Amino acid sequence: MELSDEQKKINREDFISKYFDFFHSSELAIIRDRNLKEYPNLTYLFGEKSEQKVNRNYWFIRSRFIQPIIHQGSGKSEDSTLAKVDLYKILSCLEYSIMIVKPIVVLNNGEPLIYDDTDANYDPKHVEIENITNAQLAFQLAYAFLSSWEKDYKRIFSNDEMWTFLNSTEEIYPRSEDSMSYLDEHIAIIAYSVKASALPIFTNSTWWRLLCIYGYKQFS
Amino acid sequence: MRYPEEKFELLTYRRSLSIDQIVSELEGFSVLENNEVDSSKAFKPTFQFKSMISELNTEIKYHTSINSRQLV
Repeated sequence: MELSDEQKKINREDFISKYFDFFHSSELAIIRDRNLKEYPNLTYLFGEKSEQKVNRNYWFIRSRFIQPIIHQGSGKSEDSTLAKVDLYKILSCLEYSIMIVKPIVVLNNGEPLIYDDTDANYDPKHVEIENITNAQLAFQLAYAFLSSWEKDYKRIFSNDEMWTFLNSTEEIYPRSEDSMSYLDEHIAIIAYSVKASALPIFTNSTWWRLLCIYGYKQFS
Repeated sequence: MRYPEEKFELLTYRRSLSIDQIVSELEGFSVLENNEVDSSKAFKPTFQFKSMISELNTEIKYHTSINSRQLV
């Protein structure tokens, strides 16, 4: 039975809210520990009702910019290349909605960060940590959404092997020792292009690249 | 514990673009309409992808050299 749009929105907000709880209880502690030595005064909190804001932006952007494009596509089955492209658009849209809101707030000594780069107390590393942390949330939520998709997506993407792949580096030579992994690269692209209106293009392309490479390795 | 909604609203405004501003700038999505799919090229980076990445390359390299790897 097809769910109503209203029910879909309720379900999606529930999904986002549960993932935020998971991220808060597990991933944020890891991030805090990693930064503790160098940045001991930083604390990390989720904004109140941020899941509602993300969900609202997601459905707005999806209906206004994504849905018309999806409806123009000819294929809807999971084995259709066009349907896969549509899915990547949705994943990018989810990431974008998170980065508009940036649900995770980083506080320095209990105070909000300074975002004005002309201010003498502005610290770009603090802002970078906040952007990267939110970008990590954006990717992981989109990934969780992908791996909750029915049939093949759930089978393929709900496994540790995929994470091993995401944490590996591209096999190109010569390769510098500090090459980014696929995952690092994707998160960096989300974080550093957050104010660019072209963010959806970047993340759509990187999703496409990530999953095509994985598909190639998996099935070739 | 959550960051209070009122303060969060203010912070969202200060940190990023508002949703109204985003809407006016979302022309980027229209480019996705032209996302041509050629299965024979699906596993190779497209020219469009390469050119987009090259624009970000300098910035990514800079941030990689700082500490982004430690954060993810």
